[in-house]
Amino acid sequence: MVGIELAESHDFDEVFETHARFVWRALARLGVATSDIADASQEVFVVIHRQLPGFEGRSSLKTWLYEICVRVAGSFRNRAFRRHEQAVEAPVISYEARQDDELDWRRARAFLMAVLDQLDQEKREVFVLYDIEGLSMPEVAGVLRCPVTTAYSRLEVARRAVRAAFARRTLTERSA
Amino acid sequence: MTHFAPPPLRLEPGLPKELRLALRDDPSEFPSAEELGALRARLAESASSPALSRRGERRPMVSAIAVADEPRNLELRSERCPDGAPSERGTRAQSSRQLRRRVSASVIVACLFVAAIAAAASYWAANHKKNESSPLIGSSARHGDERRASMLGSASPEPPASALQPAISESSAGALPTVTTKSPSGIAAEGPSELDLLHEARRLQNTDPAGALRAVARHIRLFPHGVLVQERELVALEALVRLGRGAEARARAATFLRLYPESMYTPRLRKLVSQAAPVNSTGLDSETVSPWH
Repeated sequence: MVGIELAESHDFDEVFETHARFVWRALARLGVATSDIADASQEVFVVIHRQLPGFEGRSSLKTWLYEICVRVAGSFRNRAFRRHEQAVEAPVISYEARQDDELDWRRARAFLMAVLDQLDQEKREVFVLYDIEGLSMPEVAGVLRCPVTTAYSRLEVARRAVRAAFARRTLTERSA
Repeated sequence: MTHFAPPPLRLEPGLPKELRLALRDDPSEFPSAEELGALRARLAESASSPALSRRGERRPMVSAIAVADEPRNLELRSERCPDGAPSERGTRAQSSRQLRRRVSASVIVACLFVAAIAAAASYWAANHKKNESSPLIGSSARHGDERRASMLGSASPEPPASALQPAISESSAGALPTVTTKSPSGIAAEGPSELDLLHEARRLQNTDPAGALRAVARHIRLFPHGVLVQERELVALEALVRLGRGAEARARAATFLRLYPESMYTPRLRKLVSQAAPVNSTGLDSETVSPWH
């Protein structure tokens, strides 16, 4: 038994070292407020530690981690909602941007996050997993445990909202 | 059934530059080394063990998990854990209780599944009969969809500005000409972009309302399912009001409000319509005597 426990502990360390950055980033993309990401990451790894011994590799480790991130992110967004807080804060640029390019990216990404914030969580999840994280649609459906057709229709709705918001923004900027 | 996965959004032609930028990965999305170190320290602390990452220790986080996970009710499904896996709660009795819970949950789910299939089958059978007796009913949903597209999106090629019919009765909707889009998203791969067209219409709405209406008509033809339909209708309304065509403006506004009751443009729209010339007591619209014509 000691041998098994040693192996489990080793696996957890490995998962943490290899995927902590990835988990952090996924949580931010899924709408966890910047001030909550550390807490949410901690919660994700608590769950990973608890469930890792039972992880049988029926899905890839990556999609399994996404699944945990999606649920923890949903839980944090709900809590933020109950506290009547904004789930996504105004972008805080904590340091001087090294390049204009990075500043542009930050502005554009902050706007995208604000748009996604207006969507249902389930539509946001499909959009983030497919169009930002780059999962395949069967993987997305597996993570969200919904039929692939449902994932497609959610993606279409989310994309439509995103396209419309950015088109309006561009139009406003041009008119100004 | 095979599905054709849509290409990633970032590869879509005609995408606003800023959206393409927002979809890009950036190194700054990752946590800093300090943030990661703090997270590692917090995990170790929550396990009441000084070294989470120190190998050779007996699963240092177990005690923390039992406390931290349950009250937060994460609803994480634990079906990935094999039934025979060593219980994290420690005792054999707890393990068998969990097993019993899982088995009974599986039985309940199976029963619900069978009941759902039976209900779906009977519903289908009932519907099938109904469809046989009335073959038109089956197309009603699609018909409604077409109506929605047609109400704001119908236009014969290059219609005159006066031909922009704002309200179309449901009965006539099916007979309206349909406009094929170049892509499912309504974004044309060639020619002017949706943004360009609408920008042009907006530019003209004050100085040349008739020209603005022509641009609107072109937008309707090229982008019947575009993402800026509401903005387009607003431009059309402004132009119609400026031309003194109050009846058309009111009818168009009514259609808009019916389709987009929650639109953020509703207050502006109402204000615009209130500015439109009123209907005369003779019943004729003022546009018939408008000095603009």
